[in-house]
Amino acid sequence: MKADLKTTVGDLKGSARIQRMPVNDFFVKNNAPIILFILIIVSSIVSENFLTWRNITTVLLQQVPYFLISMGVMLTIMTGGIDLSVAAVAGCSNVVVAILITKWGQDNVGMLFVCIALTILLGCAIGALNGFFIGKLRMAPFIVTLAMMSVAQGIAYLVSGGAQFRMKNEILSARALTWFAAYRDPLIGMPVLVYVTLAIILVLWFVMRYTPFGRLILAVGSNESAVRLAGINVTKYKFIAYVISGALAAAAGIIVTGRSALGSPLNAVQSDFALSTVAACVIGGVALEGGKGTVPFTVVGVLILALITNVMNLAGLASYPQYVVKGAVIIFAIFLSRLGREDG
Amino acid sequence: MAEMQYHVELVNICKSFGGVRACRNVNFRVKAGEIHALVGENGAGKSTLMKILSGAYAKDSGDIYIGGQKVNINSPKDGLSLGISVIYQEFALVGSLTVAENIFIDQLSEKGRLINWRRLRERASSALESLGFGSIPVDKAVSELSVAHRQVVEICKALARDASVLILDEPTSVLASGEAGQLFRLLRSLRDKGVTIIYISHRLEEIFKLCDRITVMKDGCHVGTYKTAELDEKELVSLMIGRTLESYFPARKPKIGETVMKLENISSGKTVKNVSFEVRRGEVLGITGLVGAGRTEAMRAVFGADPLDGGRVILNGRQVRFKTPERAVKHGIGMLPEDRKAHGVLLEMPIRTNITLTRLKSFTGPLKIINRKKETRYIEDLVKRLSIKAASIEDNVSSLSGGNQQKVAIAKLLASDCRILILDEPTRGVDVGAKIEIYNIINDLVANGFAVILISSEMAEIIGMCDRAVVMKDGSVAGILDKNELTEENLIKYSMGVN
Ligand SMILES: Nc1ncnc2c1ncn2[C@@H]1O[C@H](COP(=O)(O)OP(=O)(O)OP(=O)(O)O)[C@@H](O)[C@H]1O
Ligand SMILES: [Mg+2]
Repeated sequence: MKADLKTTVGDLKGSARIQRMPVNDFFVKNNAPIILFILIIVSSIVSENFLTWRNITTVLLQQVPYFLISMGVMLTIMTGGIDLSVAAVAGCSNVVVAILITKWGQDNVGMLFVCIALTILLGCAIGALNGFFIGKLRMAPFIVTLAMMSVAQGIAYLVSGGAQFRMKNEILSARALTWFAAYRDPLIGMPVLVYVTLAIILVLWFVMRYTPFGRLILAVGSNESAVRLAGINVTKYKFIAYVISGALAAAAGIIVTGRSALGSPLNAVQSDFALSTVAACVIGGVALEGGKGTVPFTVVGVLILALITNVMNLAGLASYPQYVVKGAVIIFAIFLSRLGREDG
Repeated sequence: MAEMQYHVELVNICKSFGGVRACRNVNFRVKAGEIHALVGENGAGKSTLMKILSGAYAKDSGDIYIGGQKVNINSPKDGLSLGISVIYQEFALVGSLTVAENIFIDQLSEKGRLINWRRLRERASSALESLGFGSIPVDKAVSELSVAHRQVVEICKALARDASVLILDEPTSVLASGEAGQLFRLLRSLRDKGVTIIYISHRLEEIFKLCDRITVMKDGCHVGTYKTAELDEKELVSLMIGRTLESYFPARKPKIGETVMKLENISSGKTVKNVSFEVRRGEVLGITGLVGAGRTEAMRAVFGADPLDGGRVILNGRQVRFKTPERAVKHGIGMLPEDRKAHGVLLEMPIRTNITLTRLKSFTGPLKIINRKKETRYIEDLVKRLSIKAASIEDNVSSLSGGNQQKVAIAKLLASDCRILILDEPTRGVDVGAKIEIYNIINDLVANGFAVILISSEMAEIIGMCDRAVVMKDGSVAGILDKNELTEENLIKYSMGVN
């Protein structure tokens, strides 16, 4: 045994691994899935409706925008930044796509794709601005995206004239969008949007796990200056993260339009997308200082928050106390996620 | 039972991290009022042992006695209240605060009162004066002080908390050979006042100059404790690494070719003025001078890490200008940064991520998927070549000892396939054995037609390794010395500017 400090990796591979991970460590590392598991059990006891297929698919459908936005926010946090403009970008896209559809989509379903593409492009553009200020000019992500939030809110009000409006049902494109947003596959009754979201999550999971891009996003967040001095274009990776975040937020906004048939500037101001998605990331173990986190755990984070809301609804809690409970739960969950850290 | 003549006694200390046993039944006894050296290879467990003593780590088993009394040390606070202060290589000062504020950071005011700034300044200057450093301005921000003076402030801060045991973990690795003298005088006078000092360093000549007794650790075990007079450097080295060394600087037959990079009148900020020199294929070019002479800054400007305000960089006969380090690396110039933890490695990332950071593309297939097997083979090859000691390449770099972290940084640089390498203090905090390994790597590189620019504060290293050396002073080139002019005398003469 005397030699084990001296040997090189090749010989010693695994000798440290053989030791079993202490039970304690296991709970700290996996606290998010464990919390989710407990929540599922508690929920199914609290409400017999919880474990019905209808409820499960509905919760998933409701969470589609949260899943999408969380993925983008996750990327920005991984690079050591944050994107607080997502809720406003989603709200802005919600209004913009409704207006575009009303304008162009009267009797041509094809125009729906143009409207969607343009709206996502708008999200990309806002994300690109964030990325430029943060990546290239090295401004602080917190304040840049907060300011961008205000910009996007302003756009939402400007283009809509401040009032919420309903897309008329005669408009072909509008009908197509709302139909698609509610469509469930006939076999098991799962909404198609959930499949689309799942596909996006899987792609991102794959990219983060197996490609240089994923590795470098985390590396940038872990030690930016070391990565820069190694000769890697840090700006590029940050930029891409914010662009993706903007695009996914815009997609989420379009989905909100599809599900409500409304274009409402209030969405840009009132929605809890920013808080909930950042919280979901942190609960899922994405460290706010960057360089840590995984896609599956972030998904777990979103689900945890979703279940909390769902079980409160099923238990018939009024909506104002729900805000208080949700905030308290987020703080508690973040507290739990810090437990395993040595830096205290 | 413990004898009274020892101030600090560590008995049968054990500590493991996962599968790595960093301390195994270590016995370590320090007498009151001595300077006691603690030496050993990288990863021998020196820092771990000291962290146990100061309360930063919890021991697995063993006892600690202070002044003959058995004590429980469970947190750094316990350590401090027993008078144990550690000065780490990475400073614990707050750069933006003033000297006075730093010294009394946890006692800025008397209980419950507002801060009396005048009184604070007085206390700080009298504290500094008592150490013989009254010249350090107490109102200056610490970030504006020289590294040597920061160290003094750090010691002053420890003493302000009534430290009776002072632990210095590689304090001189950031100092130039000449600058350490001041620190030594201070430590000796503290010893004479009865402060017990534990001193960790990889610079062996210092230990013989400074210390009364020496404890050697190897592979987590206590090898022995010796009076300094009983040992010579050769014996000490063989105790540390378990074999004898013929020479510290492996021989090399220089095969020097054409000029690959030429710098003309490089200027950057206030610290670098009109620096010109050239480096040739197959050459080790040293850059030395006092800390603050602008060595690092000059090379950072060339490399694109800092703005280049004036001058020309000529690479293989063509003028180039690197706006970012990325451009420099694309042109085959790589840099090993000076501050390993801040710029050299990704501490909280696995060894794997660190080493292949810059060459991930070479492991990807058509779908841009990283071929992990291929990557692992590459990494294990480098790990073996540089003999990096780690349990697994999936371990975070933060769990490695200092020297092995440095080797990971070097591996990362080598993986970037650059042909001109700027190595900024590559052997800082690295043990004798590993130093020689690094020197061998450098020799190997230049033999293969690389060009190496070696920034170093250690004169012996410059003399032993370099084919030529640039001596810098106050941001300018004070002299360029050929191999036959490379003597300690000349280096001092040019770096101090006494002509
Ligand atoms: N926090 C940690 N987690 C896991 N392993 C650790 C940790 N700290 C130290 N080790 C391991 O313990 C061993 C002893 O490390 P230590 O830092 O005490 O060495 P050292 O003698 O101070 O070396 P150096 O001269 O390089 O500073 C090393 O193998 C190191 O990898
Ligand atoms: Mg150490």
